[in-house]
This record gives sequence, C-alpha cells and structure tokens, in this order.
Amino acid sequence: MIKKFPYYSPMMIIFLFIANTSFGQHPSEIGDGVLSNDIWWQWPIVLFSFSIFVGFMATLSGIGGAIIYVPFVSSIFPLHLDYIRGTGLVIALTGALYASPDLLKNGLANLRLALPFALIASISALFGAHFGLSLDPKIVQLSLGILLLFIVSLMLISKKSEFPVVEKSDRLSEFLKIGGVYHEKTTSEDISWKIHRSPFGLILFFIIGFLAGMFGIGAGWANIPVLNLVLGTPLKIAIGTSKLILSVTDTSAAWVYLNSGSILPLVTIPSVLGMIIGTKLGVKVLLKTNPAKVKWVVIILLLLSSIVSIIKGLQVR
Amino acid sequence: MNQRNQALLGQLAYAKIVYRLANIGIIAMTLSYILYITGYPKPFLPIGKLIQLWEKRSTEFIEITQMPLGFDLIHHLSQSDVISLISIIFVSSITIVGYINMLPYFIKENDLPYTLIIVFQIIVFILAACGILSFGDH
Repeated sequence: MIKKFPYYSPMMIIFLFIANTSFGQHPSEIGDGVLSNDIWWQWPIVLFSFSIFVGFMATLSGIGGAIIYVPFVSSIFPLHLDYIRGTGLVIALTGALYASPDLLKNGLANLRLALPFALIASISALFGAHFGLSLDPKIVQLSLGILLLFIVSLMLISKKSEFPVVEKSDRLSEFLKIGGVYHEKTTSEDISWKIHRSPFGLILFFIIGFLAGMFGIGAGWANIPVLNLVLGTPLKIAIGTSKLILSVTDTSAAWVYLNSGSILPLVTIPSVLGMIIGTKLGVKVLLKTNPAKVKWVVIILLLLSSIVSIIKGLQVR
Repeated sequence: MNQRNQALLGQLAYAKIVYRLANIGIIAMTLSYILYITGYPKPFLPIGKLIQLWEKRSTEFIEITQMPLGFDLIHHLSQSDVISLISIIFVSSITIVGYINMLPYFIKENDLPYTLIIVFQIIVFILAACGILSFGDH
C-alpha cells in the first residue's frame, strides 16, 4: 500500500500545511513594519521550495509548470493574482527557452510549423493579457477554476496519436511548405509528415494565445492536442514545436505584465529558479517512475485548485 | 546553398543564440537576486514594504509605491530591485533577439512569406515591449 502511494505526495501536504498556516497569513495580519520586515526572507524560501516541487511534478506528469503554479499559488499564498500570473508567464517562458534549443537541434521542433501559429498566438496573447489585467480578479479566479476543470477533462479524455494520418495537406500549409522528415530513434525510421486544417488551427491558436495571456498559465496543455490531433503533426514534433510556440506567445504576454508592473522580482526569480531545479530533478526521476501514477496525482491537484479557485472567485468581498 | 540548408541554418542560428542567452539570463537572475535580498545596493522599495502591499493589484501598487516602469527603469539602475527586474526583462527579450538573428537566413533564401512572418513578429514584439500595443487602461 505504502509503495503504491507516491512518495512526493507528503511533500505536497507539508507545503499546503505550511502555506495555509504561518505563511498563508495576510501581510496585514502579520503586522506593520517590524515583524513583516523580520520574516520577509521566509517568502522567497517558501516560493523557491514550492517551485522545486511544482517543477518536479510538472516534469513527471508531462504538463507545463505554470499550469500547476498559478492555480496553486493563487489558492494558498496571499499574493495578488496579477503577480502570480506574471510569474507564471515568466516560468513558462524560461522553461520553453531552456528546452527549445535542444529540440530544434535534434529536429524535434520545427520552425516552419511554429512561426505562423506562434505569430497568431502572440498577438492574441497581448489581447488576453490586457483583458485579464483589466478584469476583476475574482472573475479571473473563477474563470481560472472553470478552465482548470476543462483542462482536467481534456487530460482525462484526450487520446494522443503518435503518427496521425494526413491524407492531403491543405493549401495554406502547402503554400508555407510546412512539413518535413524526422528520424524516429526507437524504430530507426525516417518519418515523413505534413499537416492539414491549417486555417482552423490558426483560429484555435488565437484562442489558446488569448487564454495563455489572460491566465499566465502557458499553453502546452492546448498546443500539443491542437498540433497533434487537429493539424496532424506527429506527437514528438507536436511536443517539441509546442515549446517553441510557447516561447513566442509568452514573450509578448510577459511584456504586458512587465509594463504594467505585474512582475515582482522578489516572487518571480525564486519561483523560476526553483522550477528549473525541480525540472532537472524530475528528469532524473522520470526514468524510474510510472508517469501514469504521477499524472493522476497532478489531476487531483488540479481538481483541488480548480475547486479552491471557484470558491475564491465566488466569495463576496 | 540550397533553400533547405538555409532554413536549417536559420533554425540552428535561432537555437544557438537562444541557448546562450537563456543561460546568461539564468545567471543574471541568480546574481541580481542575491544582490536584491542582501540589500546591496539598496532597493527602490524595501522588501518589508513590498510584502505589505503585494496583495494589492498592480495598478494600485504602482500608484502607491511610484515604482518605475518601462524606460524609467534606466534612471534607477543603482537599485537592487530594479537590477533584478532588468534580469527578467533580459529573459523576456531573448526570443526577440533569436528572431532578429534568424531573419537574414530567410531573406537569403528568398522566402518571402516567412520573411514577412518574422518581420511582423519582430514588430509585434517591439510594440509590446515598448508598451505601444496597449488596449486601454487597466
């Protein structure tokens, strides 16, 4: 029984406990000046440790760190949602920047595929970021909770297709010469691929970019299914190219948050650094762990955060 | 040099510069943060005060603290919180530099659609970075 229970779950419980007790206190409850000045250093440590945990879980479950970070931190830390979303974007951006070079060098990300969709998503991310920052935070929190429920259902029902069949590429993708060949190491085969339904894909990426900018949650959860299931990109190319699109989308949205003062280095930097360390630890453990079990832990975590987000969103001031 | 090679070179040029700058960005963030939390040099806004205000939304926070934003940051380069923020701005600029770096490869290739996509993307980035693409006050 004990063996079946993932060993990182107690870590989560400890974090939740700590965050909900002493650290979860509102700064105004802590007191003015002296006391809060004395204990400020605890915040970066908690955020840093929490982000290590998030990065670790995100890697093992194969979803982006920001999607766990934003709802969780907004549920348990007394920070305004503006700064949490800003940090979420920088987390997703840094992770994508870190991963993209290797993916491009190994041919697992495709620039010709990424550029047109990234352009559309980056424009809508600007709209989404401005819209999100202009809305009442309670509405954003409530919408985030609902979106998380949708993401959880997507994680439960969506099926991935390793090599989708594309009978005929559409005119737009032919014009843009999107397609290619990649070497599949597991079978030592050269896989030729092309895409279809590009115009529909552009519309979907507009929506994805908007949501990514509005909630600061990255967009890997949506990029991959759209690239893979709608456009017909092989799964590995979809995963790699998703990171590339993410780096472009989040760059434009991050600037909106930067220019509106919604990024606080005290919060953002320990979170980003913790996430990088957590990701590296996760990669090491990934080989020895059953990803299916981790995925269930993440689904439960997301469900809990969605419930907390909905409750917080519905609370009367 | 055929078209496929030029496109591949563009892809590799992007990967190379992003890799280098991402590593520099991480180091810059770490070092600037150490300066920030040790208080050398002094931040624009004391950390204790920041923590008391971080439950307020960003517009209100900026109004109360008068924290510099955008190009005003240049006048506060001797303050540790501004230095830390600049390290984040650096990371947020990496993709833009990557795009500028790969543009010549697509021009050489005479690939008009992609050259236009890249140019348009760079314009979107620059307008967003300058705060010009603002759709009303928050």
